[in-house]
Amino acid sequence: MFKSITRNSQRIRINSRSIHTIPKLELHDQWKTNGLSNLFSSQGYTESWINFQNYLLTNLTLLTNGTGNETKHPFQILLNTAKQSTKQHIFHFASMAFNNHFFYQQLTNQEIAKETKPSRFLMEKLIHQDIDSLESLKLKMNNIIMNSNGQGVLFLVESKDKSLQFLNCSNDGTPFYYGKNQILDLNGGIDEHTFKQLENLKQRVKNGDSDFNLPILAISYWDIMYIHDFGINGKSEYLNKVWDYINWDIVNKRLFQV
Amino acid sequence: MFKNTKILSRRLSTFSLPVNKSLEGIKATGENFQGLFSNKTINQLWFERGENLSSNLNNLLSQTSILKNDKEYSLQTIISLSMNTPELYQLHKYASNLFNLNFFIESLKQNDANKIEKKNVDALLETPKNSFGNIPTDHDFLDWINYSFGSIEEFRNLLINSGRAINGDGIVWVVAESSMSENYLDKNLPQKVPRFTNLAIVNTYNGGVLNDAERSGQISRMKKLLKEETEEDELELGSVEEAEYNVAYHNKSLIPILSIDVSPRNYLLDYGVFGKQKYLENVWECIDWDVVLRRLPERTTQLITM
Amino acid sequence: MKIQTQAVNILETASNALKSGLLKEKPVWYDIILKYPPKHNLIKKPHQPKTNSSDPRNDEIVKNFKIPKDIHKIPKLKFIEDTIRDTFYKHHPWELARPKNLIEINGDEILKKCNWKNMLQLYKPLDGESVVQRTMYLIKNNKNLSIFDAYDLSRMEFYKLRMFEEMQSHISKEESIMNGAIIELNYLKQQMEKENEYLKQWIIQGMKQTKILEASSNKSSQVPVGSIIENDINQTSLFEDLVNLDK
Repeated sequence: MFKSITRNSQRIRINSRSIHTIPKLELHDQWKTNGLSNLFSSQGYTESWINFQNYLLTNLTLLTNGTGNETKHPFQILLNTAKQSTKQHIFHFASMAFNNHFFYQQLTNQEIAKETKPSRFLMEKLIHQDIDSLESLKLKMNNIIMNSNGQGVLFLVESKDKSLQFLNCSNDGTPFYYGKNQILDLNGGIDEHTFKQLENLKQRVKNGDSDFNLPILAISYWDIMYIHDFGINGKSEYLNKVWDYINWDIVNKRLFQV
Repeated sequence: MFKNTKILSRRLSTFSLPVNKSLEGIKATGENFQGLFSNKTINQLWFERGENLSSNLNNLLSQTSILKNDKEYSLQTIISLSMNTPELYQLHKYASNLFNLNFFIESLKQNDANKIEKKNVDALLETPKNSFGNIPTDHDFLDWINYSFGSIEEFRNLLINSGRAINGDGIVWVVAESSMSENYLDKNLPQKVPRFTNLAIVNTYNGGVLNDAERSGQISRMKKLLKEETEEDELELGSVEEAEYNVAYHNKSLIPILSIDVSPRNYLLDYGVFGKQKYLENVWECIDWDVVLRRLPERTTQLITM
Repeated sequence: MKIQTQAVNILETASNALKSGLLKEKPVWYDIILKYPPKHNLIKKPHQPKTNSSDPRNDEIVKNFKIPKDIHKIPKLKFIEDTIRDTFYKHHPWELARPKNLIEINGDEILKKCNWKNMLQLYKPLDGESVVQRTMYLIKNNKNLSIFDAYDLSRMEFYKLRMFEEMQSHISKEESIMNGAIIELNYLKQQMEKENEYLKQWIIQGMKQTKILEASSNKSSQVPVGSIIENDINQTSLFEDLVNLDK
């Protein structure tokens, strides 16, 4: 009896109300004062990480406190809300908080990034996508982003059969659930290809398919990433720089190891 | 319909950014767009982005064969022409973004009573204030707003809320809405004149266009085109999905009279990530109602709705 | 029962109960208490001031104070907050339908963390309590404000915030659908599908009954058209059949 009480009280302690706070990045203190050399100035870093993440998490706190989601992590919240038609605003903040953190986790200083490179294992997998070098991966991904409109995050994901694919998630789309990938654009004309993809998605939802995609690499192209350092029209300049700051050791580790 | 839009002129398949006198002045003097944008923002938002969009558009136009050389095309026509052609996806985006940019900036005037200020995280907790100015003076217009939205406060609230709720790129439009669907008009009225009885607020996302005639029925058209075999139950009353599509694209004629671009690029530099509400409040104070009134179609006060 | 003030009497009471047969068995503590009976009365008595005493507590005591007879009754606590809360929930009964998290470690810990300068709070969901607390804040910080005006002001703020959240939910859904999202759990859809199940049954039944009706009206074609008696019989049987089928 005593045991169960103590365990309960422990659980209560863990469950006690708290607000979402910004995760601490390894090089946070350094970046806050100096920025990331040519990619983010200290102001750019403050806006795109500290303020943006704070914005997302504060909104998430406001929308989840007092509900079943209040003690959960953004990742759990995004999975919990993805399928619910009335909770899409909560999904937005949870999913973006996750995406932004995921993107920042793979960044490091230029000098350190230079020492790392994609593993052979990763490059072997990319060959199936007709990508034979880091340079062509860069080109391919930058090209997809330059042809996308609005905000979004481009993911490289490892799918169920362990092959690699690109998922261009508009806005707050998540790579973890196909119903909310948000890879289509229905804002203008809807062509045959888009329509078929949409029907296919509907069928998958109907069948209750599971999604086994896991993100490996993310390039965020939300305006806030480049607007302070490269200007409103600085997307391409930002994209050319960002690759010099990817810590490939972290990306390599995200791949399923045999 | 868009006679006052100045992007009409097209010579040798090119469009150029219309000359906006007050913005040219700002560019020359290096001053702020009083009460809304800093000089830096308006420079990048209007001049740089506008020129980017038009040069990209011209570039793509020169490569396509959808246009006949001897005809003059309006930007609107280009948008409609390119909409349902997947090869012209980018062209369509550039054209609609250019149109949207001009439509938004055109209806703004400076108002030095507003402050342009960066907000911090506390702004998220604040309840939006009720006090505001810049109320349109035209009696008929005000009456129409009251008829459609209840009051000017409710109208402003709805407008700001719809804008603020957009997460990514998007535009909130105020439109005059025809009471009858175009489908109905086609069949039943020989003269095909839409009558505008209502004002409404509509959102478009990611460079979408506000043209119900083009968008309505796309999904069902596509279904027919692909002769999709859907298991239809005779006894079923129809699905929610169908109902949603029919309501979302009811093919009523919409005439935009005001638009607010709420994409992050508009407020991030001057107001910060926490400042969207402040930005929208400032936009309200800077709306040039004269331009809005010029766009307004004639109002019909009839009660039949279809 | 009269309020028992003397815990010391417990042994006596129990003995009497045993004797009269009210208690069948000795309580487990009986022998122990018998061996070590309580030595003094544990009930604290209120201090009785003596007129000539120099006890400092005397200064605190109001002269001619009489101990009220109902001193043991729990007094009725009256708070203005309760009145506001009652009014709010009476006018907004659906606010009570919102799920509420009842797990709380330290009752007022959360309220202490809140700053009612704004209605929205980081540590507390927006609900009727927010309106109450905000009203109290407004009254406290603005002496000229009547309670009605303060309540109205905070009520309006509450509506504004609720409206925005509703708009957020609606627009986020619309926006993601325009980007190709498929949202699985649509409450409207679920409701309609459920409704359709029943409607389908009714349509089938209706078709059956129409057939019977038509058949019987053909059969009775000998009877003059519009015969009241015939019609009446048909209608009652139709009604009965439906009731039976429904069971």
